[in-house]
Amino acid sequence: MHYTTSKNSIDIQLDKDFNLVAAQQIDVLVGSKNNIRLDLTQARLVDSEAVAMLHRYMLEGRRVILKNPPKIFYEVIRILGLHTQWNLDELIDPSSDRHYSQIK
Amino acid sequence: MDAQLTLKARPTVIGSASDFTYKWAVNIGLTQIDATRLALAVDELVADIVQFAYPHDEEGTFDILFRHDMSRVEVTLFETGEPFDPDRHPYDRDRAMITGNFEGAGLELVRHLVDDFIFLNKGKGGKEFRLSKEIVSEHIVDILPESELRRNEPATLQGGYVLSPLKLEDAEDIAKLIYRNYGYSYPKEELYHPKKIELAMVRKEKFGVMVRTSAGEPVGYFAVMRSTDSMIGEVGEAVVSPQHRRRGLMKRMLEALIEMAQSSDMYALFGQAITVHTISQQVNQHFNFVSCALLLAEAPPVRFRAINEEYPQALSEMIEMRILQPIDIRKVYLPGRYKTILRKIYRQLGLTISEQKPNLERPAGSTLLDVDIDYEDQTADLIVRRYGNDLTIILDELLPSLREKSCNAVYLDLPLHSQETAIVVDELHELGFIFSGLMPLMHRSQDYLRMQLPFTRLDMDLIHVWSELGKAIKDLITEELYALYYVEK
Repeated sequence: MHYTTSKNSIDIQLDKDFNLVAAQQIDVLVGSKNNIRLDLTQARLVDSEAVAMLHRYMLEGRRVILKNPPKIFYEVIRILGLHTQWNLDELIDPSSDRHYSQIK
Repeated sequence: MDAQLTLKARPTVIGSASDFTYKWAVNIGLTQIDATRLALAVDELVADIVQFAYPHDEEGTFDILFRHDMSRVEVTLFETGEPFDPDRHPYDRDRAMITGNFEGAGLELVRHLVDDFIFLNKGKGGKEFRLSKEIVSEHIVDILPESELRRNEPATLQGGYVLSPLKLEDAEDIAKLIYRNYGYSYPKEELYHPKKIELAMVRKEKFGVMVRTSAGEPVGYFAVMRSTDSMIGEVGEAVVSPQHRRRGLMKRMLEALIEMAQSSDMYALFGQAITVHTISQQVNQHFNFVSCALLLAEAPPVRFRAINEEYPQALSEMIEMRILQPIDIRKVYLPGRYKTILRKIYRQLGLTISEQKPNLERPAGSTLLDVDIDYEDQTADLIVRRYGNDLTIILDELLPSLREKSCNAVYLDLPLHSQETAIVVDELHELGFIFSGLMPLMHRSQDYLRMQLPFTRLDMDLIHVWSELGKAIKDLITEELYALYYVEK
């Protein structure tokens, strides 16, 4: 996992699936920072633990941006009923190759 | 079974387990997206196991078993950790949104990501989480134009047939034949998919014969499916075009299959003949197949449409077997209750038995029970691999789960080479199991007593049996059925 950090921001490039272990590691790195950017280009999966962590960050008022979440991510949030609750325009980096607007 | 992983219940195994699942699934033939869905389902269950199954035991382990057939992949996670009931952990979207409590979210995903998710509680025997996904491939109706599918071969040909062993190139013609003769009603869905038929041949899961006219048109197909855990084969897929029936083609094909099976060193062939009529049973008997077992409610009634008859109950099938090679003397422990009928079946099969007397009062240790679920037929096969003192306890916990999953029947195979079989049958009878028959050479070339528990009520008068031995088997089953379940005959 690679990351760059400043006082209140962190930019993480995940080199594996966004699962329980990754979520725990990210949570430690994020700490109390309010601007979180996650590059999920290398992730094939995003599981419920990861989604729960993202939602917690949003409840806490933190700004989260996801770059290139895998296609399965959209399926996960649809199944969990979050697709109508989350603001995907704000959440997903528009420069993503795997942007939800391109997903059928 | 393709693979089995035994893993420590630690978070570090989650990624490896889902990676392996993905790769295995893709190699088996799932699309990348379906393999990803299956891998995510495994991820969710593994995450739950590592977090909750063994809270006080750092050395807790669990198993993941990977299996497939032509139509499906199945992944089973097995653990012996803390008691757990998935129904007690429902996901609540509103609660998750407001409070951030995502309890149950993992299981909610699992249910949506796979075609079938079954939780089996085996009590002290542990817990199983079964995931199943269909292998998608092109259906013959999507490959060929309607005109080609509907085209009928000339019916006036006499004697100009060519019978040959199956080749890979026959796959499309097999699917065409099945569709032309059965429409969508043939019970084996994989026979409509040329790629699946090809794969089965490449993997040597089946062998068979094709009959063509001298013009090369396919008019008949008959195949043997190799058992995955014994040197026997099932004579199970057969079709002859209506215009070419009553010309002895089915018999010619079956003769050829028997020869092929004999030269491949198979010990025996068996067939499952439906009991809506006795035609298949008569053909089998002509070729010296012997009635061994009657399986009640083996298939749902909706699948039987080939002969334009309404059949009002689940289909029952007669297992008939033909021994192909000299077989060693069978050392068996016959339960007192079924000695007479089992001796009869062995005698008619031409198998010599050496009856042993059990010297144990109760089995010791824990039971090893394989559970095989047939999602299409809605039945479950249970195989006792090793007896323990907890078999009836495990079954008591397991049966309600299977019943809830809309199983029509449960079949239980008990090893006749184990002395415990002679002792436990009476206890199983009290649990509701009745006789089904003898399954010679069925698993690892050993003989098994099959018992059964039908969950659906059956009119035994609608089950038609041809041979005298078959009638004796049916009579015994009817007697037990009425004694246990039905008030009056």
